[in-house]
Amino acid sequence: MPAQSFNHQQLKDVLIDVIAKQQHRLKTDFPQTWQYLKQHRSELTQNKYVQPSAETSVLQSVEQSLKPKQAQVSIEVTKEEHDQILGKLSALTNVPAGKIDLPDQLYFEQQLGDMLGMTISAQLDSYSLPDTIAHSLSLPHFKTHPTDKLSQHSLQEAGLSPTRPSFGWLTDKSSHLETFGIAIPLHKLDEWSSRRQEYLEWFKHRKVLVINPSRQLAAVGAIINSAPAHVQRFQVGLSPELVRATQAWHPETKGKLALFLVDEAAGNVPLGPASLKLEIKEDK
Amino acid sequence: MTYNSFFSASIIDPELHRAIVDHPDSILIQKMLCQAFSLTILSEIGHHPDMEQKKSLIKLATETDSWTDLYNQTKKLNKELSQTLIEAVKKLQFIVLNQAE
Repeated sequence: MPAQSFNHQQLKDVLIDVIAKQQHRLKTDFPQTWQYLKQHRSELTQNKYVQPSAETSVLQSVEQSLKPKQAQVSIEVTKEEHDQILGKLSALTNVPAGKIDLPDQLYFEQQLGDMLGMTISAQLDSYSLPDTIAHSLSLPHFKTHPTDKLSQHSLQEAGLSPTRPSFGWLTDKSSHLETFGIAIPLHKLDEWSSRRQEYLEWFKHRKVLVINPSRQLAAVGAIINSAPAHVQRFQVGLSPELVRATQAWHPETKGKLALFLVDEAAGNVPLGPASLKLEIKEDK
Repeated sequence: MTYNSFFSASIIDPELHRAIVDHPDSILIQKMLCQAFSLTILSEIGHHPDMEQKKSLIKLATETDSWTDLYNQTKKLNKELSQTLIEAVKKLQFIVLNQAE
């Protein structure tokens, strides 16, 4: 049979479909292999070939203009899916502090990662945070250098910590991390006593995605301190700016947040708020 | 694993190969097919009952560029599994060919 009998776009579409099915199969049947893949060959876990060809784009725009109702339905489905993810996310508010179940973890890693356009994971390079769901403690500003003063910070009502952060003073290059600084109780990690140095090196300034499940707000922060010391009540400490950005102490949230490590292998992820809102472009 | 490694091992269906070569976005299609192959292979390896062999094969499958390397190593450990991998790759091509025609 001559090769010309193949529709080029169709071949691509079939492959997109096959890849999606294989990914789903691997993710659901072998979550550990999927996790391994995400860490070591993350490109295999992506399926970003959905950009239609020029030919298809024209076809789609014609179809859209001819069938406005059908186009509307496709947006609604997307919104429905988006709402479903956020609904499931809100349920995390009722989950006790600690780690979440593996299927839920994989679900949120994939869905929230796609939504935010960044790779997030509860486990990265075989390291994981002590808790995925944590009660947050509002911290004063971290002191960046010995002569740091409260007047040099915004949100002065939060105060200034009198002590040096666990990872040392921040340099000119790293002082920007203070604004969205996070404290994680690293001493809660397994084998802390024997692997202390290794943990400190790996977690130093590591970026973490902080999500407020009930308010559906997210922000990226950096680990600059190992705290709180007593983890029965609080399992993560946030800088004043992070508390504001995530509305961590909103009455609905009461400090309960979800935490994921940010994988920067594919590129730098900026600190600060990240949007979980669905962006629908409306044609005027 | 690269497209060339599959092709040089004569595991790619000639009809599919022609369609890929003729495709205006040939390199991308090759990459996509290799991704689909890799995921299928990893699923098949996932079914293997021996944990140690499974771990080492998953590691090799994610690290090597050569399908032949993986195939030979799998054959050394378990002949039946190596045959299953070939069948899985061929079955996948059959599905792609039938749906894309």
